[in-house]
Amino acid sequence: MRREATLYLRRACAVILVSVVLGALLSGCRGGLFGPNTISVKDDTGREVTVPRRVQRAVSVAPANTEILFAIGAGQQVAGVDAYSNYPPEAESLPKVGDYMQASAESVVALKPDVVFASTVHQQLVTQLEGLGIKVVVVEPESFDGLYKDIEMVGRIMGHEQAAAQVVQEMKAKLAGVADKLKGLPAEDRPVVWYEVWADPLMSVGPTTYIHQVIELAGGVNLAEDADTDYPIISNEFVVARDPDVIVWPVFHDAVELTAATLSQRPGWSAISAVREGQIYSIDADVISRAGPRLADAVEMMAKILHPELFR
Amino acid sequence: MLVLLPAAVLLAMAVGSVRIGVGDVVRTLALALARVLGTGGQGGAPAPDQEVLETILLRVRLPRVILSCLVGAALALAGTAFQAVFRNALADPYILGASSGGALGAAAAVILGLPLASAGFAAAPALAFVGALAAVGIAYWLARRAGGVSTLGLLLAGVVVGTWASSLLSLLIYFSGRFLAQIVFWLMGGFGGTSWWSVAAALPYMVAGAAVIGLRVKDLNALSLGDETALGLGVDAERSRRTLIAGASLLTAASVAVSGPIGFVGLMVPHLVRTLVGADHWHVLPGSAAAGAVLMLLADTLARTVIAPAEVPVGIVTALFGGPFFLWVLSRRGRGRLLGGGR
Repeated sequence: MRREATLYLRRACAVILVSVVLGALLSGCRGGLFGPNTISVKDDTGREVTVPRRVQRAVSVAPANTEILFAIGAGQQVAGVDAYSNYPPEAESLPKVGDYMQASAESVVALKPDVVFASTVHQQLVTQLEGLGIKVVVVEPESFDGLYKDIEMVGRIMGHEQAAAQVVQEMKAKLAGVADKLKGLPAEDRPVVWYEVWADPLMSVGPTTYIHQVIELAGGVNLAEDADTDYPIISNEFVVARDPDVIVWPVFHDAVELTAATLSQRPGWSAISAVREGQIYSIDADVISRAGPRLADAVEMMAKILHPELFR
Repeated sequence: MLVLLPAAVLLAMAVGSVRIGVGDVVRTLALALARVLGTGGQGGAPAPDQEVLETILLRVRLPRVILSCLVGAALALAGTAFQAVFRNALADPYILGASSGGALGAAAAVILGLPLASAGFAAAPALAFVGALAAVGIAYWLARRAGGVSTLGLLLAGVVVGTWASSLLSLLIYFSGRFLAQIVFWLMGGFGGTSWWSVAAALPYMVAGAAVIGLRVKDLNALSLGDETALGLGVDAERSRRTLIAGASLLTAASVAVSGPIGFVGLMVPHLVRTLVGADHWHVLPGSAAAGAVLMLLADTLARTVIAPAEVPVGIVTALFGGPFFLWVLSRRGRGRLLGGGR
């Protein structure tokens, strides 16, 4: 009797021991044979986010992020976008998860994303999605350098590092090309630019915005460069006093066209150089306001507007 | 009213930007309940689709449904209390500046960038809560300094604080730059980011506020008759008022913190209920709570489905549909019953 009990006990111990060892081995093997299957990135708000190495399904809730994803060749892995993601055209046919600011958490969850790319306006959504266990990476660069880093980060996350590096190279090349042609341009040849975001109230762009950087890189001077806020409201007198050489307005849906005729009707504007000489131009709003791969194109477009003789 | 509530809840759960049938809803809820109670529940992870279903229903929709009921009830109760305390038919939960104070707090949180810095914890509701209570506190203190917390004094102080906070808010909005849209959306009110955390955060204050008011039903009735009459009935008007205001402010602050300032419900629901059940607060209080819950639930359900997957701010829905609905009830029951029988 006792011998049977001891034998039984020994067998039980053996089984337990083997199971424990196997279990330890298997859990340690989670990394797989080819290295860890997650990567850790630091997004633009400083958060450390751990995402799966091969992201199959990504959701973008900001149009700029959508453009980045498609530019680096990750379009096939995008499962859903926001309603304003209209570029490239393929993005428009993807399932929508909401407006630019109001994304529906339900819709995002239903798409079973491995990662969600958001921007800083989505504070509430980010908190909510994280609470539901969904990884969110916030992409919102403040400068061209930040933009390059972010494109490369997105490339790493989506498994398209080479394509991402390529996109960054092309952008840098475009900017270098513009800088090259503008080399040695004296300060007085840099036109003062009035970029009109809105007519009533009269609103322009402050020094912290991309648009300001685009103007500067394109060899211009932003009239509102001394402003304290992102989108300052400027007074008529100030604009007239600064006498801009060029007026640029963004073309977006329902935009009202600015012409010399309409602008002359504003008090004092008929005396402005830009109005007198008809130097009023439009630019694609999406291209210039999205921190994405097309921002370099915006610089080229603006350079052509400001220095037509240098950029034929 | 109470019968309507569970039906409304089920409907709200089944409806949303993602299509889920009522059968699935019931099954998921039953499974979850079984798991919670420790009975049944199969071993192993649920199938991926089931998991998505569960996430949506149990972690996105259910807390939202519950929160909208809680906030609706809270605002209705607060409105009832304020209307009795101030003997003013136009009193609403924000009459002492709670919404402006809360908005100021939330805007400050958004601009300071606090929410994303601390993992998961959202500073906006916390600051909104503090802001709302601070506004009411300041209004009360101002009224006391001006000499006595009479109803008129309180109302005036509330207006002063509210206006002052609003102008500060406007200034913040002007300098908010890229945060403008977020702040403006918060001001319109809504249940967009609701999670179980929001429910847990709001619940203790709502229970506390409701208890404070509920325990003083008699006082509410007495105060509606005027200070002298109240005194004659053995109710210390000033103390009672103070406690009731505190309770109602807790309810209001908690609501504003988790869902922004949502108007109309606090103002109209008490009137609605009074035309249906009379002026005795024994009936009006529970009625208001239930009616407020149902109304807010239906409004939020509509708000998140009508232009799905985008959302309409709840406050717009409550005002747009609530107004005509209220007028309809009035016309059916006769105008003489406003405030419970011609006062």
